[in-house]
Amino acid sequence: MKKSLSRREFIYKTSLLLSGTSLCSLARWDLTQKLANKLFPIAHAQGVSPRRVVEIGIRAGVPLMRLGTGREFSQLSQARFPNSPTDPSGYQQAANTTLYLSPDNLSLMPHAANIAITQGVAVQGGHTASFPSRDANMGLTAPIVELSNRNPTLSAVHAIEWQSGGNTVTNVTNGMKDTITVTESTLMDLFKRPYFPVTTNDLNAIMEASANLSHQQSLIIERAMKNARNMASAQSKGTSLITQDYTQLLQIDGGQVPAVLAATGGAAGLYGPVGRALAYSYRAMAANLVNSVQVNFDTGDWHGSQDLANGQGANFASQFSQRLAAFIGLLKTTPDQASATGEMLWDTTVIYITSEFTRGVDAINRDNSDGGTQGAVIIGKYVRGGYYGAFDLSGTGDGTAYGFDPQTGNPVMAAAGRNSNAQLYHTVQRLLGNNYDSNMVLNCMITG
Amino acid sequence: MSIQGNVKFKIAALSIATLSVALLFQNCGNPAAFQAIDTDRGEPNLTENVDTQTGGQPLQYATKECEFLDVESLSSILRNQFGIAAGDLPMRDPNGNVLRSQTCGTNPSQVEDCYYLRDNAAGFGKGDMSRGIPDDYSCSTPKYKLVAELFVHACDQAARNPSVVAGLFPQGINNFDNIYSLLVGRRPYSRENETLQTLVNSVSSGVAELAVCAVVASSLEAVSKL
Repeated sequence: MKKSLSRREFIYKTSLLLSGTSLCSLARWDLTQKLANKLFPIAHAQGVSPRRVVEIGIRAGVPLMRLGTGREFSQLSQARFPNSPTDPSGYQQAANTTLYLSPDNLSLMPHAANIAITQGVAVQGGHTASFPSRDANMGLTAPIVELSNRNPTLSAVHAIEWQSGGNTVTNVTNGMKDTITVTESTLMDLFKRPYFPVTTNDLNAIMEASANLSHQQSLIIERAMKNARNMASAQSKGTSLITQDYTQLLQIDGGQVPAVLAATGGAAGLYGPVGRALAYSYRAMAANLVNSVQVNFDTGDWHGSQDLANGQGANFASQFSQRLAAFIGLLKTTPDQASATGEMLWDTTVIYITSEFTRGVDAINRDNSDGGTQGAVIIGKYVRGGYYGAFDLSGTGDGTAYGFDPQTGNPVMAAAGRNSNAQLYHTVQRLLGNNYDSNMVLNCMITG
Repeated sequence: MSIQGNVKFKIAALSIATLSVALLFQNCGNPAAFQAIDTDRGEPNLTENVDTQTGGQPLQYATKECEFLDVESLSSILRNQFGIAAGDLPMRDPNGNVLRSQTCGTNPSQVEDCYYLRDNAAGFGKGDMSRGIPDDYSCSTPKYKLVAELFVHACDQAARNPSVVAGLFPQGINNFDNIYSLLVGRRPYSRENETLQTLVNSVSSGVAELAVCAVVASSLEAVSKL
């Protein structure tokens, strides 16, 4: 019986065949890859679909309930909590979910079926720049780090990170590569074709030889260096970046993205850079230049936001929601170049929004100092939308946030029923195809 | 019923024969998405890469992570191997002019020339403890890109200096033993020699020294701490 060709053997033989043609090197590789993807899909070869994550880290102590909440607030006679300043009659329930959106969040309504929000997670670890739900408070590797180091999309760069405002979010890497911090300028530097004192043909020859030599070296030194062949692949990608100018694929100011994402100044305020970071990230993922993205920003301190009309909350909810909605819309309409089966970026990408803790439901005229819970927003094609948990708003004083049953999603109205950071962590890990503890997954949030 | 791989290859061969004619005049300029040069050449075949080194012994895979050279080491290579006294090189804009920026140098109120190592220290992994950022010498695509760019320019400069060229290629451009010993720390194996000879034969006349120098200097082994 004849041995069946592997994907690797196919690529090797096809490359040899094409080397006899007059095609330029890039076209040869492009053709080889397209044929290989068609006949020997990467996903099939690796046993996994392409996966990406967009982690959004918000400081400091942000009430994620401002992006969507439970029905309790719609049943109040009047607004009386700083973090729910909307007239109760203004809330709208998203179809077939337990998620209620305020007028500030209505831009998210088309995507609500895939937006899960909770603020019913017990506080662990206090204030920390690593955000407990991103490492389960146990020093576990941040989901974006674990996924992007696998780089299942074979992107040029594993992960980039945007920082806006003074505070940053720290990734637990456990020795893996951390994300690469970028600005608009350095992102372009990363993907532009630099000036070289040689012709394009000579440069192509140099870079192809460089990739070949490093590959040969990796086979020699793999007993001395862990993942030597992966490093040769990283070196090869670096040289590929030199021979082409990819910056045209990253432009956002010529109508390539919805205006709200590119906007700066005016009402955009501090959310302008956030939108632009999302826009560049979308473009970079669409061209498969990066696998995953981290966008961190600082809303400012939420202490003292008692004023229902003018607190920081109103601006956060409307400005950030609009940008998030536009970003999701792009994912839904853009093919993932790494997919061999025609998947869209929406099919392959999970958005995970966290904060170091979440401010809850202190009553108006108090200091909004409640940091008694943590939470998260998880968005994706395989996420079951809804607000998970519930708020006890009885009485006239502060309210209380509670958790939910991990399997059914039903609220558990007891402090002991609050969920854990570990559960959030392993739920996201499962969605990303990372290592996870099945006993900790919040199955109620996942479809399929 | 799945198609056998060999049949797939025959289908692909026919497709290539057709497509390659159509693609002869294809514009190779603007890419639609990233495609790396694929060095995925099958499972490791020890006989292809080590003349006698492995000797059929079972592999013992390493646990040492790849560690990229720090800026001081890169600067030392520029100074000691390529005769670039400053140990650094100015960056160039797309037109080849020296890049100047307010973000380069140490005085933010002045526009200064930009230098590869000084102004990309963070990109090469140098930390900033005043901001709580530790050193990061993990090996990554951006570092490989940056170092390849640096060494093309450094080797261009080195290739214009006859004494440096004589030091790198004392037995002529077709012998790579010396440059390999200087930059990699060992002599090249036969497959590596073939790769470099192919390069010499394929580049324009007068560029061979620059090309071999840049390829060896930016190679995986040369820029890693082993």
